[in-house]
Amino acid sequence: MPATALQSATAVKRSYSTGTVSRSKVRKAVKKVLADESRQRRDGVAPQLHPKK
Amino acid sequence: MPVAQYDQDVFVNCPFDDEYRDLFDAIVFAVHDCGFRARCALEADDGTQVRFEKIVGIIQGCRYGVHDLSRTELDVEHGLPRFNMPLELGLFLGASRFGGRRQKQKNALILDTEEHRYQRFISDISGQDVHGHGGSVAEAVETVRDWLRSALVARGEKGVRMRGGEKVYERYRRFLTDLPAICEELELNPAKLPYNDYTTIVVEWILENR
Repeated sequence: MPATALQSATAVKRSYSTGTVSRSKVRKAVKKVLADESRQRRDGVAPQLHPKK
Repeated sequence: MPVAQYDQDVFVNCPFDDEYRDLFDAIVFAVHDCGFRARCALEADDGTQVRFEKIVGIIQGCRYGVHDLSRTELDVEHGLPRFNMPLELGLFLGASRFGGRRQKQKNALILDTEEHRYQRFISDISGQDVHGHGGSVAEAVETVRDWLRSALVARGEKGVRMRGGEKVYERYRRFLTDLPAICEELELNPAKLPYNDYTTIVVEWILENR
């Protein structure tokens, strides 16, 4: 990952505060979904790509 | 209102309607995945702030701006065109022209459905580079990525690595695959995701998928 991308993403985490859901909850949800997906991949079930465009 | 990061912030001056939603979401994702931060009028829902003042503040705080002029159709209800995007492009160009040293560093990406179509409705910007995306999400993502890469080179950051546009688009598709499940976990409707929640999910997803 480019250094600037990491820098920016970290900065965004610090600076946004007006979402309806807290960042920690979002982080937890993302981690959980990605973990589930890894399990699916190991089982040979590839996730569907978005069909659009 | 987020803390300003002038050199990293990108003002997204694009339609907010449902028809444009795929392009809007993809552009916001691409901006973040390339190491920048997308900002737009949707980020601050403050009834005490006049909309125009809010937009001026965001433009002032962003070195970069993506301006999509593709929404030229007449409004179905009123039979009139919407002028917000050209107005905000004008503000951005004006800040760049008449502002101080920092404002003069501004850099704009102007998008339309076709490359030369703008000459028929906003010919005063002839001579500016306008990029056509043809309504394609992939094309818009790759165009935004290439522009941001050039912007880094233009400010002297030649050694910075950035994923190619096709890769960013591929990652966006993966993100879209994960988004419904993430929203389910958060008890949010992915079709009606508030802007700040969307960007928070984008950022957290990028951090977990470096």
